[in-house]
Amino acid sequence: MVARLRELSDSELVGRVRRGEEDAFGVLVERYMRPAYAVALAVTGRHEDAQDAAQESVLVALQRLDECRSPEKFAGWLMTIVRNRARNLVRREVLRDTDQVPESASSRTPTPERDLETLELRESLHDALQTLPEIQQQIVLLHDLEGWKHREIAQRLEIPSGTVRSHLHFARKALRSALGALRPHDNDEAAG
Amino acid sequence: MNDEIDYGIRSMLAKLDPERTDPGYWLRFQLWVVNAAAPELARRRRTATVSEVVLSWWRTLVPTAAFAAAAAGFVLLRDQTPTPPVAYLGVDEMLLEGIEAPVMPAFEIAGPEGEVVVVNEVY
Repeated sequence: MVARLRELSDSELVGRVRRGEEDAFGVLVERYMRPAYAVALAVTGRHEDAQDAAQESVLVALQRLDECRSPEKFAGWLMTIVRNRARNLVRREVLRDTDQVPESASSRTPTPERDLETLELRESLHDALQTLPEIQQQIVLLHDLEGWKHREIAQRLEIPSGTVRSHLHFARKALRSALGALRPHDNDEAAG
Repeated sequence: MNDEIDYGIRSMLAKLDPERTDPGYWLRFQLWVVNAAAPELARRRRTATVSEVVLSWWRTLVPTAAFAAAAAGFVLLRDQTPTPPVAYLGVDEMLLEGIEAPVMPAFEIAGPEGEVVVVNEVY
């Protein structure tokens, strides 16, 4: 059942979710939770806030689903909600402490995240990302982390494809420069 | 899959993926959102049920009403076809037609005391 739903287009899934089909909603969440998180992370710069913004945005999108006039453009519509929610989160300065992780999605058991080296790497990445303009962060995360194509990013963020390429080029260049010291190790890891 | 990905950058950015340090993160994320959405999904199911009933009525009623309106219009238009003018005659006129008008007496109350006067009247 769910496997068949995964083959449906956004438009078809949105139609089913409008009628309250839980499985269809689950597939829609599965499809866009990572990109939503990536966009929120680009705006907030913090995992906890990105998580909150992404989760809230998906729920808000469900409540306002009837306002989505072009269901085939659901992804772009959702990303707009995510960006706005994340910006509001930052603007209202309701950033929470790192140790106040909500029960919603966080593991209750210790994870390798506690490893100092990993934490430092992540912080370096966060810092490097934060040096980029918000749009470049979104594009590089959606393209190089989530695997979206230029065309998909252009459609969903509603910017020209050429602008996506340009932003991606500058974002990569800045990241390489900022993270130069980390790269040899990472490239080894990527090769392995 | 996107073949223009910079895998060096990707491998670094992958460290930002919560799943990497917290296995099962995305599954929990999805379950949490779906659970949190349960009341809204239930409301949508109820609304959908009501609207489907209304829609099913609508589907039945509209063609029936349209057919009835068309039939009524047809009947009305058919009844409005011009008919030859009809001259209506009173029964008394029919009875008296062609008869030479005789002088018929008529009675009238003429005086304050109720006196009766006989007058002639032509029919």
